[in-house]
Amino acid sequence: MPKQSPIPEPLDKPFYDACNQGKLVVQYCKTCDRLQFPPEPKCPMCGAENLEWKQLSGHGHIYSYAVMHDTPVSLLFKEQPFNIAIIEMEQGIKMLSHLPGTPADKVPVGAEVQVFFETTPGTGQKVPEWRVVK
Amino acid sequence: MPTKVQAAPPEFYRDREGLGIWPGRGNVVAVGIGVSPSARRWDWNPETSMGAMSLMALKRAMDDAGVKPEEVDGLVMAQETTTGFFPWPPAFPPGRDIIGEMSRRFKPTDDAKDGIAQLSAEWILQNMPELKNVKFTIYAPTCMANCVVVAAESVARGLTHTCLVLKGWHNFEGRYYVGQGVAAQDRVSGRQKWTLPWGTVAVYQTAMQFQRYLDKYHKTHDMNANFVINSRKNGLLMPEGYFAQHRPELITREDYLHARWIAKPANLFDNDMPICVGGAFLFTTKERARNMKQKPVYILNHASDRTPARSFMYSLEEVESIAASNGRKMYEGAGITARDLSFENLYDGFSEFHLFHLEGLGWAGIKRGEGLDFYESEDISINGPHPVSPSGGNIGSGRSRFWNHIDCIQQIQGRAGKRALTRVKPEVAVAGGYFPYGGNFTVYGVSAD
Repeated sequence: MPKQSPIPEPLDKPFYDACNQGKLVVQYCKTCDRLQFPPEPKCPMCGAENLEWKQLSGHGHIYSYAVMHDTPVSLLFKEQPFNIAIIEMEQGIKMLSHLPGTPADKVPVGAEVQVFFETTPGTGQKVPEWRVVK
Repeated sequence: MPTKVQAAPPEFYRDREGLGIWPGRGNVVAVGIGVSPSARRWDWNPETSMGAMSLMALKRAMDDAGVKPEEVDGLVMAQETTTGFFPWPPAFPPGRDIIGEMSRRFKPTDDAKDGIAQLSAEWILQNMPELKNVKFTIYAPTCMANCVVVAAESVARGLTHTCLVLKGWHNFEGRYYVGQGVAAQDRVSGRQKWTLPWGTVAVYQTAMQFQRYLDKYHKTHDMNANFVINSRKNGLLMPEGYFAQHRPELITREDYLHARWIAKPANLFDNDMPICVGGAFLFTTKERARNMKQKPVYILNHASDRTPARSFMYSLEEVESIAASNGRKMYEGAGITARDLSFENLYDGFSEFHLFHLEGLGWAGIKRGEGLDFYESEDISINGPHPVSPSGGNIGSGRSRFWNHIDCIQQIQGRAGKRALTRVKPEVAVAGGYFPYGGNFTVYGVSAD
């Protein structure tokens, strides 16, 4: 499914560079031993600014979902209805997915998923996506 | 004219438990309500602009309270007047210079959006020169709920003694979000880049939390029907509201069960409808209220939440925890318990999170997972023992985020008209939102005690 291309900014460029290399990374605060997503300038818990980037396994499970019937995004009008699922990973980190390969409104909540990377048409920037692991 | 207006500082918000009784408890009162006529969309006439409606609401609030403009010394307001994705400038009608027409009708500021697509204190005060003694002005972001909390705290701190509280809304031609602004582009920057590429609509987060709720507690979407039906019924009894004025249609069970999905499990009627309207209150001290027209309604407490989400959105579990904490904060600062509440008017802009608010309050003794059963099996009407959203909220009257506060004040004052509660004496109530997370809440009471 086509997606709008996210425009990387200095704070989140490492995330998007990693996506282009097929890797899923999030920020990590050594002081709190805490993963952080979306990227923030400092750790929301302790205020530390020297956040590192850590690679995730890319495994997760489906936490919940909705089925879009009236998206505002022009690029996706023709794709409706489509799934939007919340993928939950290590330490409760959550990201969104269209669950390619899963029919609309047939989302297996709780199922295991594995990340892959899709190219967005606008700029070619890759973004993470997930498929249900059979 | 005050020098550069600031946003309310963090210390104004009571956003954690353990703060004890609010020092302003019973010393701040609501005495005046003003609402402009409503409309679905702006007809491009300066006389019906959001700015014009806001000025009208302010004048009506002062008239309602019996207060002269020169007695007012404070203004708390929100600058934002939409949550939509409208581009600027919008698609003005061909051949018309709308900005020019507005600047000939009203004194403009340097920002052409003022009075049309945003509000500034400067625009308000130079177009209401009779408010010549306003020395204290402060912005409360986004919502009337935030404005109410900031105004209450401002009066309590002695920063203003007679304070107008204002929120305006505009709505242009076209869809509010669909295919508008950033949603029409092939790329996106800022925080929206984490969600919008997946096609999210405003209700998506609530829809996913609600889906999680349905799965977790083994409930169905249809069980939300009574809440929506009740809300519209109550809204049609609010003469200030959009549906009462323009589309006096009840929502039937069939309407609700067969409504088109927006983001399943949220359908059309689970989403509020954007409108144009201006609303204002007048707050003052309990001493000054003695000389004003209306019965004072005491503000017993205000509470807020500023808990950050663990991730890009709040999980159901985070929402439930925050809603429960909000309930505890509201009760703690007011010195009350859930049993003291006569009715509740928490926010309903997406109908489905209202039950999260209710469960957090422990309204009528309900616990987590019991809200939908409560809607189905109990009388939640204005004639029942546990009135839910007697204002009708946004579902009942269109998106203003202030019908709920208006109803709290009117019920306690005995001015709720056909919405008046029949089985419950309206003495203590709560209003606010919007979501449990990030929300701002007010406890209203019939007396200072």
